[in-house]
Amino acid sequence: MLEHLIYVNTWFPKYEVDLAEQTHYAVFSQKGNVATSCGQHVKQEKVEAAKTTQQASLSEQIRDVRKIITNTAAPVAISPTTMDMNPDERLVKIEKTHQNILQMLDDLKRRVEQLETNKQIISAKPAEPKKPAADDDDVDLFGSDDEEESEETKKRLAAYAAKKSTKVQIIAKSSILLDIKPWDDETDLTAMEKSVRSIETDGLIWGQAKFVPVAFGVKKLQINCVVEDDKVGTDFLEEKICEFEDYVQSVDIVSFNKI
Amino acid sequence: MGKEKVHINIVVIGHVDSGKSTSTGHLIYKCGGIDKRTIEGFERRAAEIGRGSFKYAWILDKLKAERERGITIDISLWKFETAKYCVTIIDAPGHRDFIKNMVTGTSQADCAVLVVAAGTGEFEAGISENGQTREHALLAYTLGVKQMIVAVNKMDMTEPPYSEQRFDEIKTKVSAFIKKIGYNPATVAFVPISGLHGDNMVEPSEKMPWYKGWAIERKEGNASGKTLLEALDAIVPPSRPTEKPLRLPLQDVYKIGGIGTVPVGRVETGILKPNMVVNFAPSSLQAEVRSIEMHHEALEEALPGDNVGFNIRGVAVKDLKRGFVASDIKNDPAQETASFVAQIIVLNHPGQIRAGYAPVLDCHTAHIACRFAELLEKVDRRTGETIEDAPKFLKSGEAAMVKMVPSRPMCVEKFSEYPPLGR
Repeated sequence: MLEHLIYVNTWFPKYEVDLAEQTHYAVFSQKGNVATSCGQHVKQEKVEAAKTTQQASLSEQIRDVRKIITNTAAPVAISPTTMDMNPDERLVKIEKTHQNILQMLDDLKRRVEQLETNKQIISAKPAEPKKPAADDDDVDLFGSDDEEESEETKKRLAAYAAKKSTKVQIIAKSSILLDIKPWDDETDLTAMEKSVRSIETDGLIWGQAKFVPVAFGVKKLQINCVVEDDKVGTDFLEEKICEFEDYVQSVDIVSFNKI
Repeated sequence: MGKEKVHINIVVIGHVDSGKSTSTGHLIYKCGGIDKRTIEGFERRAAEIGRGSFKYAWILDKLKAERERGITIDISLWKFETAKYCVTIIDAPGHRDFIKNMVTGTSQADCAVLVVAAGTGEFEAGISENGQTREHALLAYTLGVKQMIVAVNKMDMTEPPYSEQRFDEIKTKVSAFIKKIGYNPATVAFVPISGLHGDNMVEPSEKMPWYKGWAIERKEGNASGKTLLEALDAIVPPSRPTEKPLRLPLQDVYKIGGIGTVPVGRVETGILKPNMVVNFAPSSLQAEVRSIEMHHEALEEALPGDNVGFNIRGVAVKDLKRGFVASDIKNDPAQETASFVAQIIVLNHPGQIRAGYAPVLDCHTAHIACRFAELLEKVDRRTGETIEDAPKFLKSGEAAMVKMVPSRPMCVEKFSEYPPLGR
């Protein structure tokens, strides 16, 4: 019934009408950008809007750029729908779009440059304020205190400096003497010792061991080990040793000494 | 080791660079803690390479290397004898687990020796907030180590060397510091020493003519002297609570063919004798003690401090556990504890602690989770005065009285009656 309408050219500028309508709505409600993705005017407006938001935060800027990108992508997708338009008009439209895209690219380039400089400023910022802060501290330490105090601080600093130079190679170690108790007089202490010595980890050295009589013929294994303070804890040792539950009833720390 | 001398335990605390290891090593070296042959060997070699005056440093270095390899057990158990005591000395390590071991460890220190370095700048660094000195000293006091000796080390490194002024300055500052923790400076001996050169360690030094010796006042009797060794000799020995009812927390239980069940533990209070009928709290098991052995010798009685095994009849090995407490059924036997009030100090805990918090509690040999049923009151760490009733939560550094409920049957005793079973 409406077939004849296809041939009526009065409908050719329909898209212009649509565009006008969409632009109207877009301007009307600033946020209507996604819905009106096919509008050139809207695009331009958005670009302008983005240009003016130089003061906005980074994240906002990024979001704006994203919007622009979606906007530029949209017309490309939409152009095929206008395929059945007059070739001349189509050419004009494509040219326009092309120009627009070029402009957009320029804009984006500028944007990225801006973002980069922003980023540099931001990354540079934390480094900058640090120095003044440290200076402030020093000023406080030396300035606000009495002569005596500042002298002490100097001393302290000297001591720290001296320490730091010697400290590097010192690894804090402790010597731990453990009592490892068997279940009964028939437990094979030699096998127990072997199992215990099989526990290996970074920073642990097993030392001498001996069998010490407890009572009524029962002996316990007394074993020495050297641990690096930061690497091996007593909980680790006790846990690992108690895992040999066929041999071990309990573990006690006899002595714990600094080396 | 002769039985005639009283045994005391000493813990040496101080900042990493205070020279406490050197001082400790020196004492042990001078007082016969290392066997003669080893020393002779070292002396000879030291002389050979011409170290002369630096031989201590060299020998101590050698000893350190020896310990580092963990070869000799006897070196890790540092013992030496003074005129009055047989001393076991612990050189407190910086290891984070050491503190836990200090809390739960079997041997309670009778005295703490705080070593501070007098060297320029070193004292200031050592006593600062982040130094170990504070933490260890606070902990020692908290754990009931009520005696302290302060050794002002590295007197040879002051400006000028062996400066009286510097010693007085440090003495004043340390006094204020330990007073804050809870010690009474009047009971603390301050000794200027040099662990490296041996000044005032064993023999009085001639390099400090201004030093007239240390003197302390306390209710057990005043004392005075010059050297660090003399200060150690002035320690009040631990009282052996033989007159109290028997308490013996079990460490292990063995089943021995032909003999039967043998629980092993350390007598904390009272006396254990053969033929005594003992109860094992928190269970209601009872048994007669048939014989007692320590190492491989039979004993007629076991006294506080003795680590003994005893043979019992009628109780199976599986019914007894580590953490049980043996006591005389005729003399105030130990009982199961449903709940108890504990004084706690939050040393270092992230965030807040509220009622319902359930940490694992180490009490004598028991190792049981206990729930904070109620926070009764927040108290001042030193004076014990109440600061706040029924606080909502606790933070690091605060002390409080808390009602605790064990998750499994457990035996706890009042600190005032049985100190070893109350912490």
